[in-house]
Amino acid sequence: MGDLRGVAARHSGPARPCVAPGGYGAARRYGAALLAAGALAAVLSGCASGTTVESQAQQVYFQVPSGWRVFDQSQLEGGALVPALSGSAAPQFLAIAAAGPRPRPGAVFTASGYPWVISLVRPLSSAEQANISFEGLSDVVFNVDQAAQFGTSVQFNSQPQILVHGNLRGTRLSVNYNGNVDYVQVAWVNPATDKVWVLMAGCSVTCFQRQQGAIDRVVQSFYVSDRGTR
Amino acid sequence: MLALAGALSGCSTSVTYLGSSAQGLYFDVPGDWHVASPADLSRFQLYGPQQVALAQASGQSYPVYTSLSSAVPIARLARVRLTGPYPWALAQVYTLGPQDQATLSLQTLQDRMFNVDSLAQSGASVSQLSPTAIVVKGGLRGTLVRFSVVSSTASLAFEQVSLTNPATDKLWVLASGCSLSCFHANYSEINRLVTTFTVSDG
Repeated sequence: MGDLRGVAARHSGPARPCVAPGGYGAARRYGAALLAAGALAAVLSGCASGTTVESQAQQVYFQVPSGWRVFDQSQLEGGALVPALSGSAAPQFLAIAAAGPRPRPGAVFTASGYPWVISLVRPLSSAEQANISFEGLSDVVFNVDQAAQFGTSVQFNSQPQILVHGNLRGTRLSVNYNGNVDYVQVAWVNPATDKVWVLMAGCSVTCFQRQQGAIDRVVQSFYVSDRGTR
Repeated sequence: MLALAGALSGCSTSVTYLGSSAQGLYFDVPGDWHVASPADLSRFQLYGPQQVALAQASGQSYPVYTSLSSAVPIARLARVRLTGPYPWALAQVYTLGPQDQATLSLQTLQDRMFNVDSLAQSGASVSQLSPTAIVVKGGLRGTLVRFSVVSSTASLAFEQVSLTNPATDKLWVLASGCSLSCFHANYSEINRLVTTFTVSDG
């Protein structure tokens, strides 16, 4: 599972997130209105070219096209999705974006006709901290390795890439799941190996071919600050 | 292999500085220890040039620096036993092959120099002398471990610190130890030299 042999590390510069007119200050003021008690802020800012989703507390940012619906963590808790995610600890940041006329968070990881995006930040357990490797990052959101062991087809569409950004390390994967879902995943780990930042974007195979440009732009916009991510 | 050695003299406690600036590794050992020559190292079969070339060609990991030093008397350095009564320090820097790069974890670092898992499976009594400590220095990550291995014919105890870089294409390891009784008798010296382990990744 996950052939990373022959991969050279690609040193990735930070992709700057789109900033609303007025700068990050405007985005933060808007975000304050969405702050749930005890939860970290998922700040949405409208930009001419898209919507920025960010958590300053978790040092994560990405952008989706205008018109995609964004669901923040408070809207997702209590649903079936959160328990289905890999890992025993609750995510410190979770956001889903979905395109289409009737976007829904349940479209994530399905052969939807419209693109979906899931991004999360979560702690790694002691066992994960000890055992996680570049190869293991493919299972950090959904355990595709386990799915493959139970007979689900999991194929890499291209050679996985190892990424380095300052002190962070990670991988970029392009996967075909079950023959009918294509997705791209970027995952980052800190040096202490106790935290992971992930973004996955995908949809059905035909949708992915049609929307690859938009999906690539979302993935390219995914930015994790190296500051304070020990 | 570029070895860097220097000695401080005129101090009540002298040390010998070892390591390789080219490989970003620095540590020191007691000044009265002896450092194995390349000829000595070749007798330990710690990866000769031919093996390195084979490993490179097949994409496997291979050492780019090796240093062995010991408190053993100089006349016996070429035949020093890691399970013997004199403490030693063994340092290596590896270029990691793609397979190791993809699968390396903090857990697997402990087996890098002495495969304690294999030793346990082959019947030796392996004890972890203290919990694994995770080491983080900037972007470098690794572990500090202490193990004892006892078989019917010998015992070995060692302390080992390992660090790898974010790209996980390089690994620095320093281990120090000797027989179990020697380890306990010389622990402060062994622990001190392990704490001098310093890595600079470019």
